[in-house]
Amino acid sequence: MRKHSLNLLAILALFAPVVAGQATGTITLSGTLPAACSMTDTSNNSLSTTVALGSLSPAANNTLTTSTVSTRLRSNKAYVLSAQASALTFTGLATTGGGDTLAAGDIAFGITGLTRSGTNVAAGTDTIVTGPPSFDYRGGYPAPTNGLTPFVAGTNGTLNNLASNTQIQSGTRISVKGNNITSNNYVTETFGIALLSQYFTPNTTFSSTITLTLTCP
Amino acid sequence: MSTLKTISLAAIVIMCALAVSAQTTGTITVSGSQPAACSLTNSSDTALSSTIALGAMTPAANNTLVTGTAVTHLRSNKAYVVSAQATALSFTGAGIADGGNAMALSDIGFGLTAVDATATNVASSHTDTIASGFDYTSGWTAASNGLTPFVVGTNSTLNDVTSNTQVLSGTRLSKKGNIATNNNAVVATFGVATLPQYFTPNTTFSSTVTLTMTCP
Repeated sequence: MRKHSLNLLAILALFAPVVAGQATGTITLSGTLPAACSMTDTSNNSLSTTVALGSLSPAANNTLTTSTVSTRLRSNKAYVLSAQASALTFTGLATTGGGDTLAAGDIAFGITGLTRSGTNVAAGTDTIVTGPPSFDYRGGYPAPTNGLTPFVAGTNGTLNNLASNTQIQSGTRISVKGNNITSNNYVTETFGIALLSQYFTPNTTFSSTITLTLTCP
Repeated sequence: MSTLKTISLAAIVIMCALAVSAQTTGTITVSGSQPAACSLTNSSDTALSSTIALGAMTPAANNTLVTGTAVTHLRSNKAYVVSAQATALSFTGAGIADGGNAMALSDIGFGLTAVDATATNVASSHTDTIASGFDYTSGWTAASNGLTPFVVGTNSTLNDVTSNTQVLSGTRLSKKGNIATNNNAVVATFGVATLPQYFTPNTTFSSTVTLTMTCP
C-alpha cells in the first residue's frame, strides 16, 4: 500500500507543469542576414553582356570607338569591385608581316559613369581607383593624336592592367533596404571601353572577357 | 475552471539564403574584328584626285622631258598590290593630222619615281616591288634627237596601262596607326614624262589614270 502511494505521487508531480494556473511558452525565431551584394544588368538580371565593336577599319581621324555597359550595384555593407580580363584571343589572325597586333594595352577600360542616388540608397561614397593607372574615365578618354593609341601605360587603365583580379572601385554600403528588384536602392555604374581603329594585323574576330567581381568583405 | 493546456513549442525558422551573397560576379565580353585594310591617299591623307597640268608643250631645241608627279601615301595591314589603268587620250581642238603624228599614250612615260618606306611606323622589314618597266626611281630615260625616248616593252608608258595593270606590290605597310598617322605610310611618287614635239596641235589633251590598291 505504501508503495502504491509513492507511485501516485510521482505521477502527479510529472503532470504538475501542465495543469498549473499559469504557463509560459516560447517561440524562438532565428536566422541570419548575411553580408550581401549584387551586381546586375539594368534589368536586374545577371550581368553577361557582349560589347560588339564590329569591324574596325582604320580611318583618317582620331575618333575612338567606344561602348558602355550599365550595371546596378547593391550591398548592405561596404564593398569592393574588382575586374579581371582574359587574354585577347583572335580567330583568323593574319601574318603579322612586321606590324603590330592589337594588344590589351590598346583597349581602355574603366568607369565612365557612377550615380549614387535613390530613395533607398545609403548616404556614402564610392571611390574609383585612380592609381595610376586610373580607371576613372568619367571625364572622358584621352584624345588620340596622330592616329595612335592614346592610352599611356601605367597612367590610363586598359585591359592590360587587368591581367589579374584588380580592384577598380570601392565604397560604403549602398542599399538602405530592399532587394534586387527594388527600383531605388542601387548605384548605377557604367563601364566603358574604348580603342582606336588602326592598321593592326587583320583578324576575323578578337575578344576578351572581363569578369567583374563585387565583394562585401 | 477551465483547464489550461500549455504547449511548449520550439520553433526554428530557417532563413533561406538569399540569391545574393557576399560576392557576385558578372562578365563583359569585348569583341570585334579588324579587317584587311589598305588605303591610297594624297599627301594630305585625303582622297587622291590629282591633276598633273603639263601646260602648253611647245617643241624646243633640246631633249628635256616635261615631267610631273603625284605623291601618294600607301597604308595597309597586310601585303598589297597597286595597279593602274589609263583612259584613252582624249583631245579637244585637235588640228588636222595632215600626215603627221598625234600624241599617243606611248609618248607619255608613266611609273614610280620614288618609294620611301622609312617612316617610324612602317612595318619592319617592309619591301616594295615595282613592276618591270615602271621603275623610274633612277630617272627617266634620256631623250635623244628630240624624239620620245620610251622603248616599247622596256620603258613603261600610259600605253602599258590601258587595262588594269599591276605597277607596285609589297609586304605589309603599316605597323599600326590609321590614316591620320603621319609616320605609318609608304610615300609612293608616281611620275609622268613626255617630250614636247611637233605632234598634231590641240587645245587640250588628257588621260585619267586610275590607281587601285588592294590587299588580296
